[in-house]
Amino acid sequence: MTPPDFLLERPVSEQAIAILRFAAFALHLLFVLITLGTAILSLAYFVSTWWLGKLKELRWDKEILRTFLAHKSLAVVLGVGPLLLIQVGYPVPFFSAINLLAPSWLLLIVLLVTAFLCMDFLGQRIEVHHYLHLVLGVLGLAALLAVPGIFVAVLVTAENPQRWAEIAANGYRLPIGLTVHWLFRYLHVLGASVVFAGLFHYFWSRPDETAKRASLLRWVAGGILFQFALGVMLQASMPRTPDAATSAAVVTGIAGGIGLIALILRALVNRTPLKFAAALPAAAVLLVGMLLARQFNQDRAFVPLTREADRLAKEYRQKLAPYRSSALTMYEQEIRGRPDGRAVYAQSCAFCHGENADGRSGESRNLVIPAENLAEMRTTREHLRRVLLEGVPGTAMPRFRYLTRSRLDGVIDYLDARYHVLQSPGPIPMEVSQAARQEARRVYDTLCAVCHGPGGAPTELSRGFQPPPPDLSVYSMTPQRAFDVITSGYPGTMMPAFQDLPEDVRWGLVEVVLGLRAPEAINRSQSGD
Amino acid sequence: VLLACVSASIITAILGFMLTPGGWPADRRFWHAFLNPSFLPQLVVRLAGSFLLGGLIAAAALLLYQKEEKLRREALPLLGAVVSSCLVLLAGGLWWYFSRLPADFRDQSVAAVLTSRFSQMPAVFWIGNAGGLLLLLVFCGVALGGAVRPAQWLVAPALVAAFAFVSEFERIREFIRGPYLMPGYMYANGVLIQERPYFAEHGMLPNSPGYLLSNPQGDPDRAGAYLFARNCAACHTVGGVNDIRARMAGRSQDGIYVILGHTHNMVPFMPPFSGNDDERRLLASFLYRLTRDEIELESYSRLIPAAPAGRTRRP
Repeated sequence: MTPPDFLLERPVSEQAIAILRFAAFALHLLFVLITLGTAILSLAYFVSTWWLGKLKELRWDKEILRTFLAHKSLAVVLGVGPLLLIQVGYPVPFFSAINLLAPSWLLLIVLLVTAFLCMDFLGQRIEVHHYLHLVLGVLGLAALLAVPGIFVAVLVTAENPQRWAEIAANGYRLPIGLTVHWLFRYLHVLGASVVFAGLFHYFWSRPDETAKRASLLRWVAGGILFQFALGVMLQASMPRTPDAATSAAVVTGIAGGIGLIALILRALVNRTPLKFAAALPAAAVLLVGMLLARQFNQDRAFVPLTREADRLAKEYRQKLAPYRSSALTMYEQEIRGRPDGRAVYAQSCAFCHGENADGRSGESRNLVIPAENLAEMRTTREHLRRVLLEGVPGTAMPRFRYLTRSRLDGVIDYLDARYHVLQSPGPIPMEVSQAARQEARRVYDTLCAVCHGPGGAPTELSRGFQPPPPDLSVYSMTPQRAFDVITSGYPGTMMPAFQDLPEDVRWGLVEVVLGLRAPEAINRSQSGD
Repeated sequence: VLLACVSASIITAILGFMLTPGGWPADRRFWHAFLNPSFLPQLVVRLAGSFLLGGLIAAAALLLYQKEEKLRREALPLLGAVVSSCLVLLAGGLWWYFSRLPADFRDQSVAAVLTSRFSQMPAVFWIGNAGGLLLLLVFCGVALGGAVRPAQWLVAPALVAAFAFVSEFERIREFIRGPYLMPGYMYANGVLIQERPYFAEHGMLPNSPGYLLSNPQGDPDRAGAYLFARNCAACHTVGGVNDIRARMAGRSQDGIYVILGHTHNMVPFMPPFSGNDDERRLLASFLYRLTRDEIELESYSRLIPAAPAGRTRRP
């Protein structure tokens, strides 16, 4: 079963994509071959010229490499077409293959940058020291030659879906059978690059450069013979026996190759120039034949896979259809919103803390430590911002540092305007006797201070709690809520219930605790009584 | 130049479409996609920006490489005029561009540049931008006045500022798409917007053929790892950049469960969780145990639990 992947309709028909893909790929590959071959021939000529001690004289390698810039640019630009077409036309095999070989696929960028920088530096500079030339040439060529290796591996992977599970289990490597096929196919690309680059540079050089032209022709002839030998092995290593269409295309290509080598041998033996008008059709038949064979063979894997994927996608699209309009409505509402503090609260806080900020919500019921009752919280802007930015460890309260400062300030202002969370806790609603006050102070110092600290800041022990107790010097609650928490404890945390203490001692504790935060506020409320 | 502008307008249409698809999500019309709301303003911004960069590069070549004093004095005010008019055009284009963006997206622009590390210091953004703009304006003034010496000093910093503005614009444009890879079509994790309600009802795992093949026994850790891969791994890694374990550290399992249901509410650019309630619990448990090192993955890049015995690698 193939995962449904491509849920949009194809913009043009399958046949149109196949034809466009062939044409775009042929153009791309022609310049790829010339680029590769230019680099290979140039380095070979550089080494042989150096060997013969003729570096001060004619430099064929320089003349050849000077064209690298144009070839590689065309190869890259013309590569966009086939890449887009294969993505649109055959997304499942293509994307499966690049994912199965992801590290190599990503490496392409590094390889191409290295190769282009080295080769164009050598091609465009007039004077480069021999040793530097050799080092950069070898480095650039190695990086450049790795590129078709990766592309061939991707295509081999894409064409063999029955081996995908194996490649995934292998960890980004082809299994051995496919590696042999890959090797012959890769070498076949390199052989072709020498043939087509040799032909290009032959016709690009002046007719009077006879020695250079003869040398280039020998490269082309050698390349074609190499291709014949390699082609036999490539044929033998095909994962599946080629079908009739593929074989017919191969035979056409071979005919072109035979025609071409006959022309070249005649030119070499008779020492006459190779005629462009004769060589071009032969080379074209060779290239078109071989590329047709490539695509026919590839489509045997791609087409059934893509049809199946299309069918599944269509089914899946029908399943999703009923959900589309509601999803779109939600999206449209979302992008129309203008987030002020109230909206940010409603969106980012209310699902736990509740619409009325009282800690009651559907989600809060899922929590061992329920969400805080924000309406009864009394704290400072700085503390509230710190909690918003850092969250509370051990609870569900996350960090909100992804919100902009203005959104965070908006939420704080909203909470203050509606619930007065930044104001003082207010007066205690009952009179606490002197005795109860003393007892409460004693209880706080002996019991509460173990965790809450003598001054309200968490102690060394309690800082590691999940969650740690709040810093009572900057955070408190309304007196009633503080009384309730002291009486019943805080669910899910280390805060126990003190319902066994006499009520007025508990109120005394409220007074002590609120006094930790803002002594002057408490004093004021007392003097007001 | 004409063909280059045509190619720029095609690319601008694509980039604009990826941020403001306009009516396309509803009607899938090509021209609605191409002529999307931010297309024209962005085209103005891009063309003005390119000519601005071109003017500055020409000025740099003139001031730093051209030896002929007379040519320098004559050409500098001309290039100054080009750069200043581009700046004016650019300012207008940017205002137009940002006014065409949904408020919720536009709101993220400052955060896009500052990243979450500096998100609470918006002054950095405004001071930095004002500084860059001032530099360009001073360069324009100097160039228009034909003052070769000061222009020689200013041209390189002005060029750097101009490139910084280009990068900033691209960063904002890429970032402010909120939780979407393609607004109105696909979330950043590759889930289609209509898949979310579908998965909420029917589950994500039973609708993932690849997963079903890979986990025939229904191992819960494998299921959790798959839910992580589909929902989170587009942005979060295990043990690398944006490590999920660092994000989840200190959260309780019930807390993770609740947070999972509201990722999009809490973080403006995070896609919502896709899956049904059981899957949300499964992923919460997976993430909780992963964070506590109770689950080992095979490697950074292979998000499947390590084999119990033998070859285990700690990510």
